[in-house]
Amino acid sequence: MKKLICIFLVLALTLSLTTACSSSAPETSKTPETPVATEKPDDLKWDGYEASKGLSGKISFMHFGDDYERQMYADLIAAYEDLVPGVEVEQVYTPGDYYTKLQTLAASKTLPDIFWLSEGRVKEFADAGLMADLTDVLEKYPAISDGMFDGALDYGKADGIQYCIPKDYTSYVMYINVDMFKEAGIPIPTSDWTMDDYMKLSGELTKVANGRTTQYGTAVNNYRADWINFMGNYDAPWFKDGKSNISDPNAVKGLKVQADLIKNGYAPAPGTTGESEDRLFIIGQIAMYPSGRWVVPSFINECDFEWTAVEFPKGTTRVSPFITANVAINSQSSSKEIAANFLSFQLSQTGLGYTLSSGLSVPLYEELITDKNILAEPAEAFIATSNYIGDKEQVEALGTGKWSEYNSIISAELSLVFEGSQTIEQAAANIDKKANETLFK
Amino acid sequence: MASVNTNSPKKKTKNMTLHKKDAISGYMFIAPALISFLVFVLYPVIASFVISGFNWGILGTPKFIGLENYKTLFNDPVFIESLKNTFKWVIIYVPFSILVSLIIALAMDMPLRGIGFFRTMFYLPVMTPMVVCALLFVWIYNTEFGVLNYVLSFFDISAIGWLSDKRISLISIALMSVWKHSGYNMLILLSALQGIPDSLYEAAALDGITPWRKLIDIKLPLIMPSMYFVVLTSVIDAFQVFTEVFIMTKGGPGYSTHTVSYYLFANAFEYGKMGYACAMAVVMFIIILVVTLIQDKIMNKNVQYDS
Amino acid sequence: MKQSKKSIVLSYAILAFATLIVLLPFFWMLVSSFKSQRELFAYPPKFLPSVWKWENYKQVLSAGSISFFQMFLNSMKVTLPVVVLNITFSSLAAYAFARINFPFKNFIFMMFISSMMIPAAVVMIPRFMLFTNLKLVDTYWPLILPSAFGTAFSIFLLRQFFMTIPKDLEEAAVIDGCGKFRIWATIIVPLSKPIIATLSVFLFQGTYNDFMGPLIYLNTDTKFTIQLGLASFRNSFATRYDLIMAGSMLALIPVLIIYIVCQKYIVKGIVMSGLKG
Repeated sequence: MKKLICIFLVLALTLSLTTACSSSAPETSKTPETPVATEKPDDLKWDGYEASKGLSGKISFMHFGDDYERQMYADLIAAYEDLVPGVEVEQVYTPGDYYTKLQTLAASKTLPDIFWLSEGRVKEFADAGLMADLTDVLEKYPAISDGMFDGALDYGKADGIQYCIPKDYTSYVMYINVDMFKEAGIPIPTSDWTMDDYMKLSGELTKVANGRTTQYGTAVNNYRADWINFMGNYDAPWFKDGKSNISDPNAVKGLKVQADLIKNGYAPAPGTTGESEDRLFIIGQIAMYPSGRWVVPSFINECDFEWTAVEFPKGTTRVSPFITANVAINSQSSSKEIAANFLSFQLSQTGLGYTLSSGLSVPLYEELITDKNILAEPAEAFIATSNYIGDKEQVEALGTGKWSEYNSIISAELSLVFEGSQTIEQAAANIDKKANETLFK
Repeated sequence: MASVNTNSPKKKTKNMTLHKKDAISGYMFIAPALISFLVFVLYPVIASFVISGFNWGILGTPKFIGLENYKTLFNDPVFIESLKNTFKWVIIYVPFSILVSLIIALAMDMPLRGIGFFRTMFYLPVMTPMVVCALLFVWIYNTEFGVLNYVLSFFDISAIGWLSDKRISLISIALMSVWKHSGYNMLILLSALQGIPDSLYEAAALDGITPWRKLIDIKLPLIMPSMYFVVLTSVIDAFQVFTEVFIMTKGGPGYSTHTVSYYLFANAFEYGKMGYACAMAVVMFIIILVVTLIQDKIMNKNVQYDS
Repeated sequence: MKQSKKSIVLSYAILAFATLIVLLPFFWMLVSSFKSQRELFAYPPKFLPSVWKWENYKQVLSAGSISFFQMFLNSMKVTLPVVVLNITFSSLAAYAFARINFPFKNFIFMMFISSMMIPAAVVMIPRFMLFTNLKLVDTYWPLILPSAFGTAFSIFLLRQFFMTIPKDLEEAAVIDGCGKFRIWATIIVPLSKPIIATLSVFLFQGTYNDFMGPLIYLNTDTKFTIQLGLASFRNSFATRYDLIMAGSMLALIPVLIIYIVCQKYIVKGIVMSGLKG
């Protein structure tokens, strides 16, 4: 019996190996060729082409993402190397735990020449002097900042200096299961809808049968984009004068919406890793789902009902939390000029064409955001958010350099609210006390 | 030892040379491991002990602050909670896990048909990477849509918040961990059980021994060296529980599943407080060392080696 | 050897019950690897997939800049040397701790044990700096060297086992004039097949499943090991559970094979053969 299992497994392994071998073997040719100047393609939309002439050397580029993104950037690099034959770009793809690796490299002073950094880490890295000042890069390649939405560049600054540049962003919207609305005879919310509308609709779209909820009106995420949206849409000064101020009545009012949705049974309590909520929308258990742009590819592939996206419900105003990856250049890099040129290619229209095709994020440029090839449907809600990018409090909180720990405190206290063991008011008081005593002294 | 010490000087020199010979061969045998240990373990460990005296965010320059990290540590409610959770984990997980491993190892020690099949089955969870197991169980434990609550609903038991209720979140993860790791200790104990010579059983059978006596008088005592290993290493590992918590609940809800290793990792790589994290490692090390020494004292009396 | 009927029945009962508990989640994982994402998390839970998606496996095998097979070879480049070398050097050291008297023996042994009490996170960065200075980053050496010359866990495990080997065997050999090394090679090691088999399984699996080490030290994706490949199906935004399940099942096969091969050495009577001679 054992022998049979053994034989079977060896056969299985051999089978899989032969299938793998017969599938096309991709090659990564790193053999240096004699640089041959290529003709500038007619449709090239990159203002750094002239500056690239004569550049030669090697740079390393580190990024994260799933396998699909790895391929996109491999294509981008190949395209760049074609245009700039003297340069070789080493792709350091990091399949997981990106910041563990990045920080280990930083600690041993071996950071790659050009790397990504989320908005939450900018201040820390800036304080440690790890990133090059990109002011002259922006001057040399004006196309980078031209046409970029107002407020975006702030997220790459620390103490007023531009240390890195956001490559795209993802704003937050409310996804709608259109079929569920049609079935209930309720019209899809328009841009004008308010938090009260949201609460009411969630109730109407929740169905209970035999003591079990078979359909939820909405879902709640314990995630920073959600809190920022709820507090920001009531114009709450949740971070003021360098101190946490979540106890502000407007901040509490915003967060209470989340808490009440769960209390009323209109939304399931969020799982602690936040992964299950996307799934719930995909399997058709939720009518309205707040999330970012990154779920779109999964939704397109897997939802078998009609769906769309609308803007987040309005409070007294609207903000859009900014979540992005910035591109930074190592301050100790010996190839800053090449790195800058490559950066300009990454952010050029041609470059973005390679990397935005996955639909995972939203471009920061006005001309690109309305290009249907770059931003697939649903696009309207996302285009609308470009009018109010950013949240003042978020920028200020990020500037303290203690964003990550602050996040952990907020999420821990809120998880207790969503679980039902404390109220929003108590959580807010706890957050402020803890944060202001230990982080923002 | 074969030779007996006498007063004759010739014998004494012979013994001394024997002693020296032993010392030399002993050190030669452990040399590769010892050198590797000094370079790859001792040096980084000392480095981290030293770092604990600094305020270092990995990225910036370290600033010497002496024992201040330790002072902050003992006033940090999150650390205290993590410490409590870690002890809770060890107390719940270790006995339960070892008991399960032992019972199964004993069951497998029988000349049963298809024993190879069973052995493989039990080891499957151990072979599966933790990431996959954790994802699996997050879904199984899901309050609204998980398989577990679905099955319970047939018995009219209302949904239990396995991972979302802070009172039982740690226990739920512990159950998952027992499921995953029991096969490991089971294998070690089984090795030991299978190493017991048949002659002992035969001799006892002549006296007409019951299965229960066989268990108590033969099996258990003779696997004590391996039991010692299993208990010690299980406790040491349990104190450092990290991956399960990191993937399943990220320390939540609240701080109910924060363990010291998790909080340590967060401080080192999320909050940029490497010095603080190293201080935690030092404290943890001391605790584990003390516990291990106590265990050693207690257990060594009962461990019987062949003589 | 006769066993009482009661013991046998009880044993089967325990094993059957335990197998059910062990297998159920695993079986769920197996069938899930053939499901589409949508079906994976359907409610009420569906056990069997409505369509058996073999494409999941095909996709896993062709994903990545290198083939699954290549990643497997890379994993082997690290795992096999570690297993062979670690067992060799650990058993040498373990024998010394078990049977040779040398000064400071107990202190050194305690030191080894205490090295297991340090969480990996704090050791990571100093070690990485060491390897950076040695210019060994982006090679397999940092993944092999630290474990190659013996580790505390292996030494401890082997020592416990060695201590149960009857001393008469060694004493007979000493009288014959055997040196310590001969004794180790010709007596101790052959008698330790069960524990060496066990340790092989542990070391193989531990090294093969290691994720953090390869993540930090390997930069070029053509050098990636299987665990890194699996991780690429999961990022902070979208998890392809179906591919992860399929990929994990495939990645499991080598470990399973090693286990099946090794566990047949964990049988009764091996120690006995020494005494009979």
